[in-house]
Amino acid sequence: MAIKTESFILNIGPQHPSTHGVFRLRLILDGEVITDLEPVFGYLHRGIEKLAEGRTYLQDIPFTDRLDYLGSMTNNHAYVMAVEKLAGITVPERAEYIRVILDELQRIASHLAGLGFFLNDLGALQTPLLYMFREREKIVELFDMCSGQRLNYNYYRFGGFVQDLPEEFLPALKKLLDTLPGFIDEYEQLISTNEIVLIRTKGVGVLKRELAINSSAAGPVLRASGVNWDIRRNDPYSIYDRFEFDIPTAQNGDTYDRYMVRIREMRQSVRILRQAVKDLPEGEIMGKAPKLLKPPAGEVYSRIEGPKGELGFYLVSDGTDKPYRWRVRPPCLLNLSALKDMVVGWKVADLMAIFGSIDIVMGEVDR
Amino acid sequence: MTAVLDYQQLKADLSKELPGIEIQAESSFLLALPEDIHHVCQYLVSRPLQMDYLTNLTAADYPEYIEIIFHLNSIVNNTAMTLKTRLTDKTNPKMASVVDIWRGAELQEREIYDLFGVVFENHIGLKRIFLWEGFEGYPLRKDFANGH
Repeated sequence: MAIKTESFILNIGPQHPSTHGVFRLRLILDGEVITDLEPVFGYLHRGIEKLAEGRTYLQDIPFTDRLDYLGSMTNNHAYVMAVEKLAGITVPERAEYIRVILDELQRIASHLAGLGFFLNDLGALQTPLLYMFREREKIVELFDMCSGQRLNYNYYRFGGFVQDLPEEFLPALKKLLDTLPGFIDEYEQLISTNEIVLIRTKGVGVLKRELAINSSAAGPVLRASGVNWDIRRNDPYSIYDRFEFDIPTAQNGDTYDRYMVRIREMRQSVRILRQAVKDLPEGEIMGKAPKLLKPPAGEVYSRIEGPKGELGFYLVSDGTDKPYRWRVRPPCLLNLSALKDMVVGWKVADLMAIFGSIDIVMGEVDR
Repeated sequence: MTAVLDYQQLKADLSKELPGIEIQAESSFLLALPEDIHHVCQYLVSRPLQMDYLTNLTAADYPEYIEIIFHLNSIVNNTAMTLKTRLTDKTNPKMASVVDIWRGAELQEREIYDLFGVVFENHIGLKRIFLWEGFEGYPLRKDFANGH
């Protein structure tokens, strides 16, 4: 005799260790199986876009730190680059190199945090997270050296940086670059062939190539689905065209592939960093930019490849010192567009693995 | 390097393929009427342009109209373009949803609805995304009083 079942609603969050911030997942379940999902946002909405329109361009830089707060350096870069385009400000060579160095360090730091939390969600409580934070800490220390901050750096300025790198920065960075590949090997030894990880991630939460493109997924989520699309290569900015690196992609678009793409991206970041450190020129770190910036009336959409994907800024200037429109193109929000398709048919425990592999930060989703 | 499409050429192609549609080609974007936007998007996503990736969808509030801005990319051709439309009825702004063309529009249209009050017809679940139901007004409109 078949057992009659009744579907029911389960709310996960807004306060839950696996929701990566204040985020609510409203699930419809048939037993343990997810039949429908609705993501509910807004618990962290601070109205950053509106606030930014009421302040000067310079005063808006700290707002960008508070979007994806695990990727503050790249957020800074995306924003100042958009304003530089709008106002026609050129950036000195040395500053461009430093930007590449900081962006790639930030990518590694963000991936380390993302992977640590992902494994935590899989049930590998704390141990891998602490291993990953061990290396992230060294990057945070480097950021602390140059900006004086550990999380919200506010270090980029229109035309360059607030100050040059301190003397101790490069030796510490070189030391880190010598040891980092070994540590990535260590994570792989622990995780990549781990039987439990394989069973819980291979073939789980597949995002097909067509849907990944159609739902505007970006970054590792898009590339894990077999799409070779990286802004650093497809629409190069800063001085990325001078470096040799590969764009890691995978074919299956499952949870394992999203993990693996990030591991391989970290190795490529180390590769870029080595080249940038070797070629880093002496010179100015600040181009010519007025103290009170009033870009000519116009608009710009400018984007970079952030750790979580395409991070863009759409700015409209009306010729005053405040932006008329200030819009963030948030990769974290758009990577959630296909979440429902990825989780329907899987069980609640798989949801945590799938959701963790998307690597979102609510500061950017809610803004 | 992503190549930006030639808007004059695009206008000529669109006028040929979709007769009866009014379209303007500006220096950095293509401007269509709100009632035509769905047709235009369908054409853009099909071959040969294949604008399959909706990079960014947003709005801006101007005194005369609310502007809806589409930043589009073709992953296959590595091309980019900007499409705009202007909603002049600011008391009741509405246009067709493009979620059936790009799933990536779903959350961004909800965002525009939430913050600008633009209604997207045939959206699969149009409701506020950041603010709560019952919140009065649309904060990203310029006339929204917020203490600034």
